[in-house]
Amino acid sequence: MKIAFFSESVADESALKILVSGILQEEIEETDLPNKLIYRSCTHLDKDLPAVINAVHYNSNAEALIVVSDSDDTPVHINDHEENENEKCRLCQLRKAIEKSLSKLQTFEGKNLLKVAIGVPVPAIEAWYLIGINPQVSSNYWIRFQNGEKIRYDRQKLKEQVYGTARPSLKLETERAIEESTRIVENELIEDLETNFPQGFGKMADEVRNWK
Amino acid sequence: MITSIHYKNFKALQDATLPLGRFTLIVGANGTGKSTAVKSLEMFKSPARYLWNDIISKSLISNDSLSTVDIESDRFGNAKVQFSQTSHKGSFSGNPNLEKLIIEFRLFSFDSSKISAPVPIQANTILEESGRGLAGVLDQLRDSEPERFEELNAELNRWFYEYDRILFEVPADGQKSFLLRTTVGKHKIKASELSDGTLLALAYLTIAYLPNPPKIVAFEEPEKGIHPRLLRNIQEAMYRLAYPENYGEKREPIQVIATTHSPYLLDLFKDNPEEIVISSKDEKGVHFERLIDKPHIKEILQDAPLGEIWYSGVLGGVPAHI
Repeated sequence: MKIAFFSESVADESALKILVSGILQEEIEETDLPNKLIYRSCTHLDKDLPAVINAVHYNSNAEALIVVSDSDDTPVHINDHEENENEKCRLCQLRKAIEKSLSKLQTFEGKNLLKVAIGVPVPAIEAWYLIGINPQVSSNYWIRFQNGEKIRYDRQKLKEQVYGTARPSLKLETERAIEESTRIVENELIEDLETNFPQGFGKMADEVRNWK
Repeated sequence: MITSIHYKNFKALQDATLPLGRFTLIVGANGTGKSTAVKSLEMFKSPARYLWNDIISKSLISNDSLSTVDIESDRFGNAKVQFSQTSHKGSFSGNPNLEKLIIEFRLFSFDSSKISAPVPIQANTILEESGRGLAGVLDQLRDSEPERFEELNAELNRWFYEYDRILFEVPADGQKSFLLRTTVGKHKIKASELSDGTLLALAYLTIAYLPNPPKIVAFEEPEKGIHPRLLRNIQEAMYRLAYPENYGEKREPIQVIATTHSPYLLDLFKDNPEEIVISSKDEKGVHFERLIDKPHIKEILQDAPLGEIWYSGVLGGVPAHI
């Protein structure tokens, strides 16, 4: 399947290709997009998304798009948001922008409607990399932190655990992203990721499986 | 490491304290003392070369007849630099080790036309403030530290996929310049034909890979001429100097000070807000404030990227009337 990725860095994209391939249980084919899609600012992410979705749909051979953005300090997506959208929740923001863009897309000969799945690591993608290593990583644990409880990690500590430093080089980030996502797939930990991050990873995995 | 500099009647810095760490990024509008602060270190290397008129801002002239700068460090105690209306020259007093550290200070404000210029073939070429001398510095690195030079080539290729190696030529008798070899086709591109951004980035990369960089360095607006996506690499080059242990380097950390106007660059520091100093100016003069010392900063930084928040003005350090 030809899948495009819209994420924060080439390191994230490297991991996502392996994880999504693990979910689909098939190789991801390269698309003919000339450049990597990398966003700078999550404030503008929902504003950039229509242009990205249009470009991927109309100007590339991609069948699907994965959009992944760290939740950072935004509220964690919970079931309640399905009924009552939370404007500050990153998953709600992205979903709204994507639904609006997809509703305007037109299909044409040889091109079906673009499929889009959203992933929101809580609070950052490093938490996904630590599944099976750090038993605490989960969105529920982070919710406890957001509710004022003292917990054992924050974004910096997650980075230190994954990279050995809070200031990793892009090269190191990419190497570790590939190592950890390969470990997750090879050790069959995708399901654990879905359990510990039901909204930010689980929903993305469900969506991706529906593409088959 | 210098931990703070307090300026009293020094140019536009009437009464301001600049806090410094291993890495400090100073963000602020034009005319808020960023350049004055980093250039002041250049003056402290040899204060006797400067006269009272060099120190006092004509527009801010006060009745005081003394300009005092107090420098604090973590290892070498304090020092004082003074310029007085009555004496002809500035003076430095304090720990000689701190003076030695300050003498090592180097300010870089790169200019692509100077970076690409051929240099005379001679031993011990140094990289000048403008980047002039890069060909000589790279040539010395190749000869004295071949492994490091190979690492630099590999990193260059990661930054610019289209180039895979730095080469050298003798464009005229007694001169040396560098070329970049293309990954595809192995063509040699002369330094003078390279893009400004490539030359600027190569200068940052080279400093980061020097075996013995100056102990304190400052970079003025490292975003100048650099594509926003490459800023992550420029940040890494500066971090390689300041946090060598993260990059497998065995040398001592270098103290790095950078100034910027770029929200793109600032965004890259969202996880290290302790490294950011906001410079601003009001009727009382210039102020420097560490971002993390601003009240309720955690709450303010919660919902948007750092660069966007700074641009909005809520952190200060932006032009007040635009």
